[in-house]
Amino acid sequence: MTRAPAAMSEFVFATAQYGSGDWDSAPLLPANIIDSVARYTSIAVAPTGATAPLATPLALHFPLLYLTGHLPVRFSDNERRNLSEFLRRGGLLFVDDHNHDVDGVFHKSATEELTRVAGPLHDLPNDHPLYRCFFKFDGPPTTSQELNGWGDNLVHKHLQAVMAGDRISVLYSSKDYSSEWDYHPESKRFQSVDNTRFGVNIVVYALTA
Amino acid sequence: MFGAAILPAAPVTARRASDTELQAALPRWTMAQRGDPLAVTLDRAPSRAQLAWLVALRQAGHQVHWSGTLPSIAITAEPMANPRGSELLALATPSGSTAMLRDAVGTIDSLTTGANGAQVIVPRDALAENGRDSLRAIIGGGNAMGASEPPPATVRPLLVVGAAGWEAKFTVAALEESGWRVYARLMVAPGVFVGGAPASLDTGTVAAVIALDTTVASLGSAISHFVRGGGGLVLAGNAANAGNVAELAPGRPGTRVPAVTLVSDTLGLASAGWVPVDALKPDAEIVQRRGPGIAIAARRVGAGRVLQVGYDETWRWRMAGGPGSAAQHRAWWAGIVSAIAYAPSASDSAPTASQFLAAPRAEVTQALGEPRASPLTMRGRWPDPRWLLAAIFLLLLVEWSSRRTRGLR
Amino acid sequence: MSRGPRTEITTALQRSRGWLAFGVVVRAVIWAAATGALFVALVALTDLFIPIPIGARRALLAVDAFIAAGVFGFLMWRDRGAAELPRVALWIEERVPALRFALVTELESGGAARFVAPGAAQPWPGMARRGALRVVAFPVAALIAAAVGLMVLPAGSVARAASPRSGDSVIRTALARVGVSVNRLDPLALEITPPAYARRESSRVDDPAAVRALPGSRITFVGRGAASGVRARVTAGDRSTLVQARQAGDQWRIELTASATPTAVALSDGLHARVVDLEPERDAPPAVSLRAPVRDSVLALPRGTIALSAQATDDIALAEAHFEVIVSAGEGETFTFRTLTLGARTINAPSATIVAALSLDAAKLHPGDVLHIRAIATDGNVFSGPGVGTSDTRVLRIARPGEADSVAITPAAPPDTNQSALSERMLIQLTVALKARRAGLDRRTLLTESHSVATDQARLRRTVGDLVFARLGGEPSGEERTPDQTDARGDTLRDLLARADRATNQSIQTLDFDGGETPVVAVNAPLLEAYNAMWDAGGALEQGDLEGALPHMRAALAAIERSRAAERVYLRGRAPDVVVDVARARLAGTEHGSSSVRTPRLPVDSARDALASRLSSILARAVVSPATLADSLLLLRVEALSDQPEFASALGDAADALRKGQGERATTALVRARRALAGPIIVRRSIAGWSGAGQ
Repeated sequence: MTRAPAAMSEFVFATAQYGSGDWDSAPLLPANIIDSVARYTSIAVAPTGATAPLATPLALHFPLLYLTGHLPVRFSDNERRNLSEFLRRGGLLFVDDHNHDVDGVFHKSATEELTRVAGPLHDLPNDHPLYRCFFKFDGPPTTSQELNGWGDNLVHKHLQAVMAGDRISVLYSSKDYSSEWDYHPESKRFQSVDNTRFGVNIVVYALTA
Repeated sequence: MFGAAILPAAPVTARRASDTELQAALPRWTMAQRGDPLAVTLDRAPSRAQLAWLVALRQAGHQVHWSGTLPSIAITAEPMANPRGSELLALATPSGSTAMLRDAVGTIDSLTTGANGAQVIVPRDALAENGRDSLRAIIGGGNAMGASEPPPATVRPLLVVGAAGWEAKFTVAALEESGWRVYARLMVAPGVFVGGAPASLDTGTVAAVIALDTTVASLGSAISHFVRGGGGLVLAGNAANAGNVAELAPGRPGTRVPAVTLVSDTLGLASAGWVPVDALKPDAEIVQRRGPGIAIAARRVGAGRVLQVGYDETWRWRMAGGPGSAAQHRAWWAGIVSAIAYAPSASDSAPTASQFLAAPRAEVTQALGEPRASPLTMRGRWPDPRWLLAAIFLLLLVEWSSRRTRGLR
Repeated sequence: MSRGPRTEITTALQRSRGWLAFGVVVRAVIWAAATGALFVALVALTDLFIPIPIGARRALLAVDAFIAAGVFGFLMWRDRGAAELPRVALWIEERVPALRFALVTELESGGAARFVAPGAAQPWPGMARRGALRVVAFPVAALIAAAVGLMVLPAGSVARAASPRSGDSVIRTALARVGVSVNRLDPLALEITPPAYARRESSRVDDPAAVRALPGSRITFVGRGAASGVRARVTAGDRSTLVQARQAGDQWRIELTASATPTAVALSDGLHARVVDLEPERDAPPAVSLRAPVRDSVLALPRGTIALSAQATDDIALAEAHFEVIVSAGEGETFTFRTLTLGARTINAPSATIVAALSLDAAKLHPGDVLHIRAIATDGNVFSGPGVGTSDTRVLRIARPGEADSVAITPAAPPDTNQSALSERMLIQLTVALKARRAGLDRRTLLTESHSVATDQARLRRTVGDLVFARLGGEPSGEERTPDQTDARGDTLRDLLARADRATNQSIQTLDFDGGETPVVAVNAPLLEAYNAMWDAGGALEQGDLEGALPHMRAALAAIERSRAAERVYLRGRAPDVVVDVARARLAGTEHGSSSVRTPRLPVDSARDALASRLSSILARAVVSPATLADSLLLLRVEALSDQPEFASALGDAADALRKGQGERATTALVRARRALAGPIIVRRSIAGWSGAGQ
């Protein structure tokens, strides 16, 4: 079958909007991931992304949220409340440090806020089902940003996560996938290896776990 | 006998007792002469043992009649097909009645019934171990009625088929969180699935199949054998369009009714849109209407049951609904599946009868006949000796008075 | 009676009155004291046989005081005549008949000596003194007897009767029963000493089953008897430790520190056992509210002072509060951050207001900088904390010059340089690949392929040129479109920039490419560099000089990257949508995923089911050994405190009822516990045709 079954509900890639920082610092990433999902799967996917303000209940309409930025992350009470409800009802929050700097204010402030909302972050084992739910990986793929001289100049071997039982509730990355995937999907044809395949795994995991 | 020869036969009143006096009256009535009229006023339901005693007295030759305001109420109990082993009680009562559920150790819950009664789902663990046969409902004025103890049901896993998406994810989540074991076969790409499938599709391995879209066509004709053999099938959204289930479905999916609320509104079950059931088959039943359309329809096919559910975006209700919507979503899906899942009884034994009547007025009427409006009387009986004694004393008194007053001026 | 002149008789009578009054008062006091002491002794004696609850003892103490006061008052009222001279005179004359009412007559006559002379010879003045001393003798004896009685009774019982207080059950001396082993765990008292930061008094609890205490509190179990063999197993979560008792006089003591998790303490003296639950009292972190600034804002200039104000409250006591200001500077991928701390103060109260002033001048801010301001407060919990509370964050941004004076700024579309960067990167890859294959190619083929790359490079160069000249307000580059024609090099870089500056009315003298750049210069200088580098690269490729072309191509790429960074300005607004042609992309990928299994979810009730199973097994074991049922329930209660408070409460009631021998109440509580775990009862106010379906 080359056509997706006529499912009523499309997957919409949503970017979380929060008030304190540059939430939209990777504007091309949603289109790139949407393109990859369409390219490799038969999942019904909306052709454009959406913005989900965390301060409003609109965020609850998108069970997978992507959050990134460079600046400090300080949630308001509304944002914290909605995010807590979002996670409690079964949503998955994917957070990526656009600075890829564990000493940077995004990492410190975001981890503080996430710990407060969802609980402490722990290293995700590299044999977690996330890494084999569609494409097979031995762990989080390395990005070309990690050793570019900016940030912490480290190759992080693990992603971090807050678990709800056996399920990932919050997925946190210090590997700067935001820079790695922030390009127009038309440019994919120039790449010998598609570096967005791990994004497909995240989407498939969110839709099936 | 002298009195009977001289005096004409006088009317005789029946032995009477109210429902509260019945227990004490029954042994006395048992000692009464054959043919004595016995009248009982029942405003509260008697126990099963008391009713049996009255029937025995009747069969012994007594005229047993009853009257009173015994209301027309009934209660049934059946095991639910769910992993928690809940029991489903149905109370048929007048609208607005207040019912209290009790067992041997105390009150379980109280409720107000609706237009034709109420249904109560009681977790098995909520009942006391030694109070199972004393489960009863008390409705206004202390009427007590009971339910028979149903044997528990065995449940097998469910199979959910559909394309990977939010509806599939959260439907599986709701069922697993309710305690069901679920085989989730979710299509991600052609030939690529997340989840597993049972070795075979039959009632020995699967209790029900939940089809979320036309992906169910991948099961082929096995689904038809499964349903006819007793398995349950839920067709959500437009799943009934799949070729292998169209003949099983209660109807045909119509044109989708879109959402009518703003995205920022709090969502309920249907406010995300739904697919009506059109072209209802003659043997299908309407379970739920929504406006002019049919939202849920059911049909029996062979030994199995098929439920066509028009809601295809229930996940929005769970995620964006009001407080408690996640639990409501979970309970809703558990109820949908329980309605059709194959769940045979764990044992062959029949339910044991409760000490209380399940349908008091109906059972009393069946046993003792229609109620009488007035107390019963009968002719040809001896007068009460006490009256005769009283009369004799009165006469003696009159005679003595006359002697004493004799000669007085 | 009129007062007569003061005579010797009158003086003597007054002295006598003084002695008699003294005697009356002292007697009343001593009788009151003796009565009180005797009552206390009676209560203490009763307590030896029957333990009197603390409430009853306090009530009896009040009764005792009332009785003593009543005795005092009664005696004072009865002997009030000792304060009146005539009564005193009568009292003396009653005991000295020879006076023949001379004293009274003396008083009434006003001191006529001729009536008293016979009486003056009688030895009566010392009688009052002797009488006063005599009347106190018996009460003193009674008081001494009561005191002896109190000394004979056990000190603990006397203390319990005289000063009842919580936790004094351990000092009660009960008469031991022959043949019954002494239970060193009964009576049991518990002392709770909260941590210093809480500033609370210590408290004591008698016969504890479940107590609440702040984490860090010192918990002391106190019992009577030898400490040898008395120990406690302390279980908190998965950790379990054993603590031995120590001797303190005739008591044993076990000291623990309360933890932040529910703890079960199983006491044992070798023969007896009992369990006490320690429930942590939650110490909430402070609540902080930022009063000023009131909302986020954009500031036109980084000048002036901003007043900061915040209110902090804590359930016990605050320790410290301050403002945290994070200054973010930079854009694109390069940001710098620094943190300022303002208004820090030490607090020792449940609530406080902190104020500070943020000087924008002193903070050395620049246009585009962003300030994140919040207030932070900590409490004094040194055991499991400190608890930290934070306020909402206010974001203040310094506007860039020339920027629209509005918070909502709609950004421009992403620059076309994105495509340029990737295209240039592709060209570099093609050139590197061609260079790698060169050894196997002839000159003609090499030139053909190199020429092809040069054509793409030229096309890209024209695109960049169009970008630059379009932004400068000029015509498109005007380059001939055929690569064979020689393009005029155009103006020098400086001339182009000068023209750009004039077009935007900016001063030409602010040419500084490293900082303080005008937006026009910041964006276009790198593009111009890229344009020139591409020109040079194209020329080298035309001649097949791959090694000569690559450095220029890489320089062009770097310049384009800088240009992209310069344009990545943080703007609050909606990012532009890129619409993906899903249909065209569908399953166009060359790689394929593979099927996988999924991990099933746990039922939401799995933890509850585990507790229900534990309760069932405890009840089943209780049939064999009912004595341990209460302790087993208390152990289960500790585990359920966090997640199932209703269930834990029912277990506590059941354990308490079992300890007191109230079987029916225990049964009701256990049924309530089962039903708390069983889950909700669902009621539908109608009968559905298909049971369970529909809503």
